[in-house]
Amino acid sequence: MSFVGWVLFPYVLYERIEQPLQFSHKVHIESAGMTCDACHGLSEEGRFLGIPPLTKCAECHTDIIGSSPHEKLFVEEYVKKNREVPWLIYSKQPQNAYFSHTSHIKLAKLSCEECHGPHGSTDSLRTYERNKISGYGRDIWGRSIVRLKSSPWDGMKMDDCADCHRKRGVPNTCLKCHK
Amino acid sequence: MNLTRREILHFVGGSAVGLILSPFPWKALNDTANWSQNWPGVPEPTRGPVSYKLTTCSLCPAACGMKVRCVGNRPVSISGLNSHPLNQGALCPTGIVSHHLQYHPARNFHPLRIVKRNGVAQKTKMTMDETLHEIGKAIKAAAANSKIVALIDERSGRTISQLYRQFAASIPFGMYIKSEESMVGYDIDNAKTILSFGAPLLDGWGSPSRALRYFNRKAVSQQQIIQIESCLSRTAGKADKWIPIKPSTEIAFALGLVNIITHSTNAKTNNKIIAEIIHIATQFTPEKVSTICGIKEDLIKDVAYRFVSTTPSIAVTDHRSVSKDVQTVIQALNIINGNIGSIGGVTQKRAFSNEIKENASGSSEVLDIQLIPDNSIHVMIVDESLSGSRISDALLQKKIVQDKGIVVSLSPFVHDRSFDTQYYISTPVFLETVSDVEGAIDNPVSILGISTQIMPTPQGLTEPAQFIQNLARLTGVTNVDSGTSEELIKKRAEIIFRQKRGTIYSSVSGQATEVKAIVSFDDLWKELVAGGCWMDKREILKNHSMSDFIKPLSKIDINSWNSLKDNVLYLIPMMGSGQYSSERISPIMSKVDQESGLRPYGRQVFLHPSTGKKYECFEGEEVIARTQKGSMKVQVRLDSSIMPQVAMVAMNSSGQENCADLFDKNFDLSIRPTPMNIEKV
Repeated sequence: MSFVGWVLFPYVLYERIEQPLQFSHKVHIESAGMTCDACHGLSEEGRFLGIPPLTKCAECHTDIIGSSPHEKLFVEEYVKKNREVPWLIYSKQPQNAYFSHTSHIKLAKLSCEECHGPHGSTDSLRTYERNKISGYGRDIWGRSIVRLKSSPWDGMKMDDCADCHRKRGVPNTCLKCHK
Repeated sequence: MNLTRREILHFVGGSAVGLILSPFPWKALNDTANWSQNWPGVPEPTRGPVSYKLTTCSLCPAACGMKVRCVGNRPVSISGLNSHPLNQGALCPTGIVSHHLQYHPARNFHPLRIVKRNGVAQKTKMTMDETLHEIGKAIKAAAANSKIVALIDERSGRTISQLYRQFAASIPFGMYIKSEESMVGYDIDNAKTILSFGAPLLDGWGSPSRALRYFNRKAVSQQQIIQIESCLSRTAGKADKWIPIKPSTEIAFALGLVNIITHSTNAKTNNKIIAEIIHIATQFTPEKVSTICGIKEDLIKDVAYRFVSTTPSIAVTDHRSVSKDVQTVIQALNIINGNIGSIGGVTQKRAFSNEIKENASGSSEVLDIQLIPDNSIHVMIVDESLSGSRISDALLQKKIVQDKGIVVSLSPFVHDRSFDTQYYISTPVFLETVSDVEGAIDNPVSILGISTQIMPTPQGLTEPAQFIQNLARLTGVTNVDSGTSEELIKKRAEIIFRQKRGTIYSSVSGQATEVKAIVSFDDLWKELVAGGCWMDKREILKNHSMSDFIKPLSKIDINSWNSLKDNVLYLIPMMGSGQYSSERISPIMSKVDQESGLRPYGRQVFLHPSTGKKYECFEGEEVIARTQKGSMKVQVRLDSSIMPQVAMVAMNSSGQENCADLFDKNFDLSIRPTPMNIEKV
């Protein structure tokens, strides 16, 4: 039963789903010379824009400009048909949690990697692992089933937020995040 | 292999221990809790770009500037505009949550016909064509039989009011009824001494945000509010001075002030009414007023001295809670003190819309519904499309022809009325439509603000303007302006642009610009629909007509106060905005109102604890309140802010009974203190 709890259960718990397309952050950063905020920036009123909409990608990809089969698929199936890509968001939080990227970037001066890890340098997108019970992505709980953090960005639960606030001496109340 | 019982037990026990020592139960428990966050039925907030839209609140006439925060075009929060000249960032509790109105459970999205059978209201959904046809038929029948068709408008300074006037003026025996005289303004902000005769100045009178602004500005403005009131109301409690006069002796106190002021200044007048008031006031010496009102003589003299010496000063009252005579004497105080038309005084606002011709039956416009004979209105169209002051249901009920008259309500909500409404025309709520705002009584000049449409209008709703235009078409009336609400308001704003009057405040820049400096009408319109507001030019009126402010008095007899005996319990009304509102407001606000018990309901009688003890009543007990006019079952509330020997009853209508029926009335149907008795149920 210990084997079931420690090995089998974590394996069965998560459903593995491939992203609808592959995407290389590395190519966009290293070859195209872009930065994170070129696509995931803040709007004029300071709101974090999250995953960029199709219009943002279409600024460059109205036609195929590389040799990747995924780019070809993207242009033909999404850009030309004006369909948004149904990306699976690793860090999607519950609706009852309010998080301001702006105050963390501008006031706390945190880098994107502190919470999201160095995926800006990856060449492909990881398989999305969906918790079959809760419905959230595995990145929220963290890689380890017992939440042993291997890096600062391993886990995005409320405890992780509270830990970071405690370490930095930033006061917290319930209504700051749960409005 | 044979498993023994012991081995099986070992296996089960070991498995249980192994499972507990594994993450399985704890992780499963956590994930199950998280799963509940996404159950079907859990509301999902709208996602989308955040935007801010500027607009003007149209829930009451105060025209407060608002900033509406929208997520994906859906309003999620509202705050006041700091630089707005009318509210300076303050909003009342109703305005702050006004975006909840669209989700109100009492909302109605179809025209309804309501028929009562065996005491049960049967609601039938109708098409707009059917509804118009039936109402049109009733109007034609009323006109053919010389019967009254009344249009009740609680907010008479709006563009839609013009359409009501036009419609009423074009049908025989059509009557346009408005609730109050809106062309008189009180320049409270610039007055140093404010003598309030029971007006809830800090509790919703005029601009609801006044209380916040008053305390914010107090150090600079050095205003002093003197509240003359027979109970410790919220305004009396917050005022600089509270003068606790005996109930319904406001007129005696005001005449006492006239006596002292005219005696010390030797005032002369050519106006007959003022001369008469000065003459009557000679009987009301400080000694006599002291006896009548139950306050010290020196206090009356102090108030008179402050009123004359610390200027600008102004005397105000709430027209809903005092008789016409009291209103006239209080305005006479303003006239004698030279407050009319001055800064910090009483002003006459200038209209900027066209006059309407009278109809066949004479004047189509009636200022006061009380002047219409009881049991005489055959078709009554009541505009309840916006919140605001409402004529009491009980009063409306008295005026309708019993069992034969029909009532049409233009309202976003189905009301819980004390009388039957046969037709509901479902109208949009605030933020779902364009409407104009006329300015409150404490605006010294005419105002025009525009509440813009931020959310789409749901299907099945009808704009009041569209309803009246369709009804006019059906009944053969041609004298009603055509166009959508927005087009009609635009036409009205064009009058301002043509006349080059006043200034326009821009919510975007926070600056005020004279209208004559604006080049095109489009520029003016852009400012108006973006939370801006137009304010008329302030003019010091020299040749104002006294008749705008005062009406002839009825006979005032100083000896009549002797009839208020010390050992008798008097029933007096609790009116104005202090009571629980029967308006449809955000359920959050109505819950706070109801559960806090801060606002009295209809059929609640408030007694001083000593009076309660005398009549052996306890808090919450149901008793019979009996006067010579009738009796009613009421709930006792004990409140030490009420004077002993007085029972105050909230006048808002609820249920089938009518508190107003218990009272003796003056000639103008205003209410008099009425001897009462309390009986056990």
